[in-house]
Amino acid sequence: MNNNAIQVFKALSDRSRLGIINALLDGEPKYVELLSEQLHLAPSTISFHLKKLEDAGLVRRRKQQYYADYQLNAELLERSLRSMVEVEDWDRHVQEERVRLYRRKVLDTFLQDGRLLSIPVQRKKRRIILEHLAAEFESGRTYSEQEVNAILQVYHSDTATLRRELIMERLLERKPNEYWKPA
Amino acid sequence: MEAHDHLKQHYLEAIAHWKQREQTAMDEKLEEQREDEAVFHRIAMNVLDVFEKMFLVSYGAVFMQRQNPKLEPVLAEYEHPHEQLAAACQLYFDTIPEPWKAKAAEDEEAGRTEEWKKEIVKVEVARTLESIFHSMAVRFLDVEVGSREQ
Repeated sequence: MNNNAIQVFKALSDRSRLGIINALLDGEPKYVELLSEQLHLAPSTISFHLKKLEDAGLVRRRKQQYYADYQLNAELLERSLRSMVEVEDWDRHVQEERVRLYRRKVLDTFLQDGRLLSIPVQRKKRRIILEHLAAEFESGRTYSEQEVNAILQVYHSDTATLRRELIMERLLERKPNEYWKPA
Repeated sequence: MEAHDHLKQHYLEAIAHWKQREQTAMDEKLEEQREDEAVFHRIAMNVLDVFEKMFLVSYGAVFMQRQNPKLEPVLAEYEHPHEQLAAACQLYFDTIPEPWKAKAAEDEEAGRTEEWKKEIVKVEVARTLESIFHSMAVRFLDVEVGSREQ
């Protein structure tokens, strides 16, 4: 199954391309000039649309001796909308798994025996570490600066930097000498 | 009004009408949910803008003595201002679409149909406008214009 459902939907969201698909629905392969005549569009415009439909897998191009003709990919066209959506859901799970593995890798790299080896310079990685630290704080309760330092001290001696970064990333909120984790 | 003023008036009117037609066509395409084709009309309008400006630059260099180092060698080849105007405009018709044509050929070779189509639109607008200019140059200036590359 073509898993690029978004490309298919984009290809279909154009009246001229729907016109081309309709012209091909009889199952007969057609070449650019014929479609151009039928749909009253310039041959170059037809080629433009056919390329989009071809890239989305909706039409197939067949090279003949002196020209190319096009026909519908009936298999894809007859798929249900549900099957397309399910593919997208599968894509999402793949993406989530990729993110999870990346987070694991960053945590393994920067944490050793529960201690932070260094504070990452790259923001994306630093954010992952800070989210890990923020998980040590409970929502709905307030902490004094000493309590915050005590928690962070377990990970790294530079508690001032970690505290400031947690605030900047909005993972902790503060008032004078009072910190809490946002809901 | 002198001949070159008539040319200026009619040529700029033709461009303005053409741009209006492209705008209308673009609006219709958007209304009909043909957004990709609407983009072609936007591209056509941009090309018309470019050549409109180039005409005014040429006109200014010939009839208003505006300095233009790029045009000076071309203007120096002709004595009559009508011929100078025609030659200056032709220079732009020859040079501006060249990279578009080259890119269209590359895109076609590489199978980049979307990019190719956009370049084709630009080249076709330039070519059609060039022929409109030629016919107006004959009509108003009595000057036959031809590509300097031929």
